[in-house]
Amino acid sequence: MAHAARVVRVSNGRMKAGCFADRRFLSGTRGALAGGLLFLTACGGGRAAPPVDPTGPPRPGGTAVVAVLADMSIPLAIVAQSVLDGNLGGDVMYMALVAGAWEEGRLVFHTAEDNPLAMARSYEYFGPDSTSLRFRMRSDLLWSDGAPITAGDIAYTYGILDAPALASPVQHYKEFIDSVTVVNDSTVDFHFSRRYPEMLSHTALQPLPAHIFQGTAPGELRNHPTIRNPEDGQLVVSGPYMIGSWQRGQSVTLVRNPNFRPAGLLDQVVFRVIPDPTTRLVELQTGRIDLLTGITHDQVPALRTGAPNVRLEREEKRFYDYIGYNPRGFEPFADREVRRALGLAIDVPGLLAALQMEEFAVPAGGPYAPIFRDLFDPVGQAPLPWDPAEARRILESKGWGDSNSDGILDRNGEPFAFTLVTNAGNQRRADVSQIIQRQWREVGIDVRLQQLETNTLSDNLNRRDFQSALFGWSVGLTPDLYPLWGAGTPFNFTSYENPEVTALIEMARTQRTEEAAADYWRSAASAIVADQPYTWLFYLDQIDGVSNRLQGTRIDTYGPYQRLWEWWVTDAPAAEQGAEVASGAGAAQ
Amino acid sequence: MISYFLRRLLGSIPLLLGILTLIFFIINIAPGDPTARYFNPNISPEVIAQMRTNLGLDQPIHIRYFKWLGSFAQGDFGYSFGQLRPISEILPTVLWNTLQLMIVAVVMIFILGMLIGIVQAVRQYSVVDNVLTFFALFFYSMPSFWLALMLILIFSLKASQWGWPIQFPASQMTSVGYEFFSTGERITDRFMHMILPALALGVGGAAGIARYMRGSMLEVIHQDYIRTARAKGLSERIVIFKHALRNALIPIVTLLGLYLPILLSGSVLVETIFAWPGMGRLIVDAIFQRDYPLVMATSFIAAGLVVVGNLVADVLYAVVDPRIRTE
Amino acid sequence: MVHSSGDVEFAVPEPVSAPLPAAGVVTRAPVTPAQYILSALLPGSAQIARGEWVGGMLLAFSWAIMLSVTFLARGRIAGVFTAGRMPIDGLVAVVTLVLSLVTIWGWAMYDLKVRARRPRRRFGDSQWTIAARQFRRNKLAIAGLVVMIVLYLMTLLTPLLAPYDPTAQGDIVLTRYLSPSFQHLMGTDKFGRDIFSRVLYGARISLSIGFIAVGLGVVLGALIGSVAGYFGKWTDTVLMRFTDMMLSFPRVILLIVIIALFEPTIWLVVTVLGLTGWMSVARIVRGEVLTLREREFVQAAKVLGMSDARIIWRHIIPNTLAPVIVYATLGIGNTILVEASLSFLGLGVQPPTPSWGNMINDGRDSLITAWWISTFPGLAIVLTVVAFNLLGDGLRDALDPRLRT
Repeated sequence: MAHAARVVRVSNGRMKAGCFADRRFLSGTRGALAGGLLFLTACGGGRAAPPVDPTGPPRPGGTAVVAVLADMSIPLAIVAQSVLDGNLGGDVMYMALVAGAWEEGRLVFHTAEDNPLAMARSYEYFGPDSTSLRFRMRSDLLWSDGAPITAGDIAYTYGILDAPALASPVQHYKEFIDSVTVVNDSTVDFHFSRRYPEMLSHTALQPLPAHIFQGTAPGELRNHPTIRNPEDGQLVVSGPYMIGSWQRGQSVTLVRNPNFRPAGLLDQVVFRVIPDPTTRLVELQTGRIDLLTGITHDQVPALRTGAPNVRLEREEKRFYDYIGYNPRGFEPFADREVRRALGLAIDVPGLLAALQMEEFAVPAGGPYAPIFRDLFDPVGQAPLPWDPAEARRILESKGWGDSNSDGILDRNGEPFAFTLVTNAGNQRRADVSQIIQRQWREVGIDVRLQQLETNTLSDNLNRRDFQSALFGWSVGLTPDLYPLWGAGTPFNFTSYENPEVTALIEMARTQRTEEAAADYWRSAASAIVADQPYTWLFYLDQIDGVSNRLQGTRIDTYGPYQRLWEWWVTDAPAAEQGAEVASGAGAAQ
Repeated sequence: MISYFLRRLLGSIPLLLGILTLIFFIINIAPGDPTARYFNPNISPEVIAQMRTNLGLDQPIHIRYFKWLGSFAQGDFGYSFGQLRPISEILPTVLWNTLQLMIVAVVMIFILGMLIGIVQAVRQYSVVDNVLTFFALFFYSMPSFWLALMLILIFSLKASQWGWPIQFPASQMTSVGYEFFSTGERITDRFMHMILPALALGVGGAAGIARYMRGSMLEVIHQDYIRTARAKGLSERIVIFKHALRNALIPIVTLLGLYLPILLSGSVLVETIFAWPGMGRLIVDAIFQRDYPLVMATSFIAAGLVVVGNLVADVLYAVVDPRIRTE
Repeated sequence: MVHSSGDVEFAVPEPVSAPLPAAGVVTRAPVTPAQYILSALLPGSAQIARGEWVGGMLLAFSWAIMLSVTFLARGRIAGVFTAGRMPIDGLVAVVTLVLSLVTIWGWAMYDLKVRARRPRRRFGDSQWTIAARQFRRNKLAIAGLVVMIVLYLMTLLTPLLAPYDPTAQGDIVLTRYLSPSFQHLMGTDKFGRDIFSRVLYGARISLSIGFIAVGLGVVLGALIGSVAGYFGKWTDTVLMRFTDMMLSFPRVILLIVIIALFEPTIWLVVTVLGLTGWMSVARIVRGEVLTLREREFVQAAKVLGMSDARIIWRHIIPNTLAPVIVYATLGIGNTILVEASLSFLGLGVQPPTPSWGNMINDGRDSLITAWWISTFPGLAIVLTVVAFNLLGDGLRDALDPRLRT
């Protein structure tokens, strides 16, 4: 791991339900992404804290409680729907052929040597132009019901992936996979239609137990009895934990999967649904929960002063917020110089300082966060400077002047006035929009703020029915720019189209290796940045609070629930329970 | 009598149908889409189209309405888009969770409210009356979510920071590890989880009841038969509790029906803040997720509760007021 | 002083025009010219000189307060007239200020004149006078009325009273999260905006929403209720079924559905609050109309050939006013609470416009470290709603003859 210990300092700001949509993006790509940067964080001393010994050896036993915003809806990775589905399905309950990791600014994939969640011992490219991949799997793997995990499970999973009745959100994994063939029980071959950089990541889907689901039609998979009632270990899983009980709308309790090695240290991990941010914070402070993800910037000071027993960790640079300009909604946005002038008028560092976010966010310049070693270009994707004088000059050269001296620019009698929409329920974006409103007002731009309920907003964005929008994306760890910037794609909200960029994206997508593609991606990103269809505002960390009672967590860019089998609690019961674990007996129900 | 209630019940059918039709068209015409949960650039539009077909959203709205009406008439609420299971499986638990909270709140509202109201009426315009009026109004005038946040901050956070002997949990119905508790511990645990949300839900209502009780009591106290009772030399306690209270209760009892929708409205925010897995939260989540079948089902239950509440009020009215029993 | 607080119940009603009996009438000392001059110089001082302490002090105090407001805000008053384009709210504020000064001064003189000349009456009261007397006995209701008047005065005078611009952000890093002090009476929020100014401006928004929404609801409800009650038969059935339908649905849920689905603007919020708040009024009015319809004066009007619209407008609606006024007063408080709940869900008034609801919501994340941000708007809501409820209860007690002692 490249990054060493790092101490988080005081900051303030807010992150709430707004990253909702962002997290979806993340969970969808999650199968391909893994690993990440490790930040060990230290925080606070113990005022009235009970004696804890985080340096002591990990002890088995005990229960950890995690607060989540919304309940799980289905415990299956390939049809994941809610954030928790993606997290549990991707990181906790299922293994995959290879497990991804984020190392030195690149996405890499680990085999079983480095990560127990990986099924494959090794893999190799073969065939004409290396368009096939052969995996040799561990032969000692068992599903939680005792059946062996074989190559057949993988072939089955990829077989049903693109069934229309299943409507899997990750079916694009199969886009270039011609066939998956079983060589023997522990060897499987993937044949691709062409050589491309993301081949390996597209094999990293979490396989399902074929012996359970074989007789079920893909459309009926969601109604399979073990899916509908996964409690008491009914759901057959491959990962370290399985579902012990599930009280809908309240909590999911995970218990150890006896057939996963290394056996998890915790007896139980309880995910409790607590939707309200204030309540979640209070429960963390009073010690009723041990891990709380998505703490808002405004809540950090209270935690630092009032909760000595809680440490703050973060998922680095996972999100960026931007302002998108829609020329269809407001004609002057068609001019890229006007868009640039709008960006120049925003003082991002000042905004971050004002909202006490500077510790958790850095100004953003383009679609790639600085965590990408090969893709980030500090020159071509540099954040815009704050230069209101230049902004005014550009606007004036475009004919925008204040002819009636009411403080608002106008041209041909039309004032420079438009609406900035953002989603309701996200305090950070509400705050940011109010500061930007003032900063724009200083160069003579009149912006009206409008918060829309998230679902309504996404509908408006899809229909291109908005003028400008303050919104955010999570940073996908794969470099593909096509979904957001390809001409005419659904998520290209600003209807951005530049033949040069289209050509560069096309080139990048047809390269054989990541190294070869990186140059094109970087050039494409720089070309997009030059056109300023967005004003990129800042890259943002997700802040998570962890009780010092809970140790062994690994929270980083990838997410908060990695290596769950290594988590342990400092007040774990003594050795007898440990012996029980070692004997492989299931956890207490 | 029974035929009267049957007629009332039958009469409420077009009423429910009307409101459900209204809700159906509002929610279906409104912007937003159930597949917005997959707001993810990596998911291709074809997949979204598949999902919409699977959910039956590709059909025109009037077809969907009649389909919904058809299955609804057969007692089939459909399948929740968000929770991916039949709604008939979801509702009973959720409804029971809310009812528990509401019953506790209602009992609290009526006992507390009536006691305060009686004291106020008996001592009209006294210092006690004014002080009680003011305090009751103080809580009545507080936004329920604000009261809920304050309760959490004081009785959960501060109680823990200051080491109070009693600290209340701020979320959910039970503690972690509830299934290992003994019966006694379970009852205590449930009780502890119930108190704060029931207070947040009920305190305002209690103040409201107190006001009605005061008015109703005042009205009765000034009637001739009370004067007669006093003239007979009955003790004040008997006059108030035996003669006055019984008649003063009549209008109060009808409020029971009126309080159901108010409590249900209140439970929307209170359940969200206290992470209580009940109807109020379910309805809001369903609306925000555009989970159309769940919105329809919960709307039906909500409106149905109100109709039942009104019927209950009528029955109670007949029980306490002998005059209408004979009609 | 025999019958100075005569018990109404035992008073025999007599026509107003009848000559007033000499006995039992309390007359007052005549007013001297010196007292008139005193009153003209300082309203209330003459009353104090005459020993009418309460009235006099109240007049003197309000005079002093309005004068000091005028003095302190003299710069802004001048600003209103020198500005390039005259700010409408500033103009309203100045007019209000002048009117209040004139009213206080005028009232002091009128009071002096009238009280000296006219003896207190014991007999011949109309329904409204009896109610007014009843109301005056209720100290809490009076307090509510006073708070309400002060609140409305303050909303009108806000441009002159507010020490800072409610949306202005200064150097945020220096001015944010300041605790209450003399510079900032209620502290500042995360943008360094003055909470006191925001609470004042928020009062305008919240009170206006309450007032307009309830007004809309009352008009609509009175219309539907009176039409249903007056015409009866199928009109009644259809309208009342519709009312029942609207009534049997939890209001907050209906509001969330409608507001969440459309763009929340202040007008949408007001309209929707009004459109979901008329049902109780309709029921009350219908009930009243049903009994009024059979009364002699309505029958007489019918016989005289008056049109239905005229009968409803001139004879029915005025007689249903009492319960409607009570409902409206209570409803304003309730509407303010509902608006706060909507803001809590992010569906209320849009920032940066301050409403009490969205101010509470803004401060809730920093409730532990900066309690003042959401506590003061919260208290403002409580104070206002308490005032409206006290007033409403007082009105109900006063207007409902059955509750009188």
